[in-house]
Amino acid sequence: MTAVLSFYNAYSTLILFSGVAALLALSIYVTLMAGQLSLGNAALATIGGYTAAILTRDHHAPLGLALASGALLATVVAVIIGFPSLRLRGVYLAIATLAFGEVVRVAALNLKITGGALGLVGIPALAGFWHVYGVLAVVAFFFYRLERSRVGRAFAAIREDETAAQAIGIRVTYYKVLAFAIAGFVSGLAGGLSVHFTYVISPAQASFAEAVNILTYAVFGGTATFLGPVVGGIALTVLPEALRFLKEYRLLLNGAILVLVTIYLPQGILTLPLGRWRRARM
Amino acid sequence: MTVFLQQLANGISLGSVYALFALGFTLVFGVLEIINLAHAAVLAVGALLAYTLFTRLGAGLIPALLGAFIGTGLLGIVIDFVAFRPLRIRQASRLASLITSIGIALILVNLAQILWGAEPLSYPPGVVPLRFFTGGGLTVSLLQIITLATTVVLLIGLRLLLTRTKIGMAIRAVAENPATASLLGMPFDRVVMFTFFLSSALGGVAGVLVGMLLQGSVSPFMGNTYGLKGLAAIILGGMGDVTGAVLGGLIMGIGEIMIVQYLNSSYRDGVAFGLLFLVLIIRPTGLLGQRRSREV
Amino acid sequence: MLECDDVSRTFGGLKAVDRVSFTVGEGEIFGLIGPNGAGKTTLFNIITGLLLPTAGRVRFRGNDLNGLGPDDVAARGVARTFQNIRLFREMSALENVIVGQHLRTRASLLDAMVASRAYRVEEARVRVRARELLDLVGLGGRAGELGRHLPYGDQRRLEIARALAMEPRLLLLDEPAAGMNPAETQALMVLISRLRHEMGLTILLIEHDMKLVMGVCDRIAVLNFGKKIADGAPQEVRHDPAVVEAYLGSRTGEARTAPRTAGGEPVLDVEAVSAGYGPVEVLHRVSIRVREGQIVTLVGANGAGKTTLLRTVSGLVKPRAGQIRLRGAAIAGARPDRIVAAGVAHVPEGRQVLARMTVLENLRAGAYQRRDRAVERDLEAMLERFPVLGERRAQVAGTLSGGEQQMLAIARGLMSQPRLLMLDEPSLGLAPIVVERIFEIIQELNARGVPILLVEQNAHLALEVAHWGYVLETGRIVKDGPADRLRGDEAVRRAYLG
Repeated sequence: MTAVLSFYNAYSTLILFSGVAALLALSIYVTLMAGQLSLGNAALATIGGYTAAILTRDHHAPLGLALASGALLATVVAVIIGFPSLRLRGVYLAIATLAFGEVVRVAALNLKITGGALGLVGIPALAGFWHVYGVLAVVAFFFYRLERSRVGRAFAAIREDETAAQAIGIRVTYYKVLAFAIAGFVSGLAGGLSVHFTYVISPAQASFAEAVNILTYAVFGGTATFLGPVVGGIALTVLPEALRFLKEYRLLLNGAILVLVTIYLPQGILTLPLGRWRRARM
Repeated sequence: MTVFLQQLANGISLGSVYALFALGFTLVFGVLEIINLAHAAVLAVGALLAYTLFTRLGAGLIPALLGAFIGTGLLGIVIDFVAFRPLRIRQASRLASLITSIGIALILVNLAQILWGAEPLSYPPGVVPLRFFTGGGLTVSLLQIITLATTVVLLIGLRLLLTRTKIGMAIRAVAENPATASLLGMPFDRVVMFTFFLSSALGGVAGVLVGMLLQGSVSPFMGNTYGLKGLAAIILGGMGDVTGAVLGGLIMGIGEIMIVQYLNSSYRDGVAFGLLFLVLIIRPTGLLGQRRSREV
Repeated sequence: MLECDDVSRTFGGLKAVDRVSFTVGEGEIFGLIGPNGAGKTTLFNIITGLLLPTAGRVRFRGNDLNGLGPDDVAARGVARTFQNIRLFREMSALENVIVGQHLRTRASLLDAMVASRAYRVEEARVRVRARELLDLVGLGGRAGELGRHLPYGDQRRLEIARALAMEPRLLLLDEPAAGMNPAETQALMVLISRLRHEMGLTILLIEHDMKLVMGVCDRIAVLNFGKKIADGAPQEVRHDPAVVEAYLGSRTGEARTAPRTAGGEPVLDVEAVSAGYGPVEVLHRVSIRVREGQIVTLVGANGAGKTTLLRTVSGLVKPRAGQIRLRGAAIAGARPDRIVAAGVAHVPEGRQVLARMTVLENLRAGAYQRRDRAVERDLEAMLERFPVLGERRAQVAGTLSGGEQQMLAIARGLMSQPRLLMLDEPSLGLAPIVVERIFEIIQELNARGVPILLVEQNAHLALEVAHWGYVLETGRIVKDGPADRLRGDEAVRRAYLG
């Protein structure tokens, strides 16, 4: 038991980060479920993070309230972004969300309330293992049931063929916005949680590099089922630490993963063992 | 007024570099309908290659530009072979190509880091003599003139290539209608390979020009902002349209300088992307973009 | 049940649908037929809300459908299948039919989260119903298979099952029998009858397979160039002269100069070629031959495989079996640019000029593979031979008229100095007088020694200029012979109209 505890103490930040990464990966997964690639989730997480941080640090709000507020604000922004983006397909949507991300980053860089380039420091350490993994468990369960629900099926239909989905009576607009909203909420939560164990937040969290990281988690883990992003997020956070000696090559590995997985394992690494399981699900 | 004209001149200078970079994007998009986000990394590699040519080999300006042109051109061919061709063979989606291009960008940046280090570098001072020309209240540096001249030469060259040569015609044909181009005997894969060469070569030269214009800007990471700005330029001007890319680049360049001049400079990037977002929402085809024959 | 009232739809200058009116009564099976490009699918798209009509109204059960989006139209009780099959390919057959019941399910996300009783009951019901529907269309045993792994005919039936899952009142079927073999078509006819009798459905279908149309429909309407030209019981319609002309084309009044008996060495030999797209086999062991100096024509209904055959010869499609020889050299399966190098010029369907380039550039593009010095000289000669093009040499090709574009496409094909010129539907979309001119040109070219393989829907016209003809029906050659003997042959009429 003490061994576990001391292991945890040594690596607590890493373990908590993995949980957050999994959440972020799930947030990009939900829009992918509906066939949309949104690269704005890092920015949405940053919005959630700043909101929660300001509430706890400056207004002594309890963690739950701060997290909820951050998540809600992120959701609202996501819906506002989501609506006009409905007309955009594929690559164009990805770029639009990227542009949105940059706008958020620059805003954070310049507004007084967000502390400028240095961001905010001294955020109270309110989030621990059970907060992060508790939320992750709930969100993962939500996704598990989402995939088996009418809404999840509608998402899948839209992803496969929007025209056919409409012909069956699925209100595509509504569901796309819903996907964005869920993504916003989950990202906001993730952002809010992470600032409370890193104690700081800065505009760099809304950068292109961060957005790409999130994408990598999802691509690596696979997007056939919700477990993919979770595994991807955790694995890709832990792996670089475990392979610390390869630190110089970190970007290269990320890049190589993206290239190789996209070409040879388009469904992510989980295709291999999960192939048959997935069919049995239905 | 003179301030305005001066900044306009500065903007044109910067804008022409953006235009060159955006052209590379647009060429590949025109032929393959994919957005190659590795293009920004190629820009960095071009700048870095020139750095080595300047410092290690004591090369002059023209040889360095040539070296960057050819070096990055070849790199482009390799990228197509390694990343995009396998996807074409597997008939993967365009999103897959986007994701792969991001991966290649990361790989290139990391390799560049290993070879050149992460610190920003500057070209040796003797590369372009520091000379200024004043007239009519404007001051223009030799450097800016060279930048503009290089861009103009390359643009003219590209236009001649596209309109007067066989391969150029093949590129335009494939971009418009790949099936018909095949029926006319145009070899698809070879056309794509050549397009990648051209696109990356232009990106590499753009990198060298940026390196010259902005002291201390040469680093493996210099592509980051340019990547998104180049994207904004082609979306503004219309994807797949060569004139549009140039127009978009100029607008981006002039706009950016003007924003720095007349608004708070730290918002410069933000405004650019806000604009990009709006353009996408309102008019995704950009100013000059058109419906393509295979879009339907 | 369904009323189309003067429905029109224009695209740019083209009248895709021109004041079409008809009614479909409750419980009827109504067929919509017509040659390629007649506007049938466009009409479907208007009815189901994918397109807005530029004029006219569509009424369903007394209520206007105008302006409603496809999801709203679906909610009102109209279901459809698609010409190109739009299945959810990565889902299993069962999943496809389950999601088809979207409109009939109500469990909210909250219900799903807590797995409430309402949710569980609904999920069970939805599964049972999906299996029932799969059994109904004959896919009961394949419930677990992925959509894209299903054989083509099964995919079509799955699409029908998914449409039925919506519990519609009106079912629109767009070419449900396309790509099916005779046995599958028979089964489909039985299914359609059952749908009407057992489920009380009203059915509107587009089809080219005349056996099915004649066998199953109560009434048919015929569209041509966007206009309705006939409406009535199948037996009357199939012998209506206007309909026959629409399909087979008109005879021109004048007698043409009798083609000289031609027949030199074989230029093109297609031997027992089978080819298709994905799971569909479009051509079954087709053999044709073109000799020096001949015009050979391939006639047949839309969907028979004519274009596919040309594309197989020019290399855009790889054959699955058989051999193709050009002057003895095997070219089957080679890359398109190699086949062009061997001397095949394919003028594609719809002309496909490079619209953004000028006339001159298009012609040069045709000479892409030539390395000799005579190209510029040939260019001038071509422009002289086609003065219309000569006048417009610097004009952007996209702005030319249809007839001019067709001439450009043919001239472009000739620039490569081909050993064989293949023309795909040169008369498509062109006014009769323009078609006359084009066919004159075709004859002139041939008189100068260019062997031509001509694919045409307008069978009469094609058989007038050709030396030899082949009749293609659902991917098989059913008859061939000297063109003048085929001209009056019943087999030709049957290939089109059943």
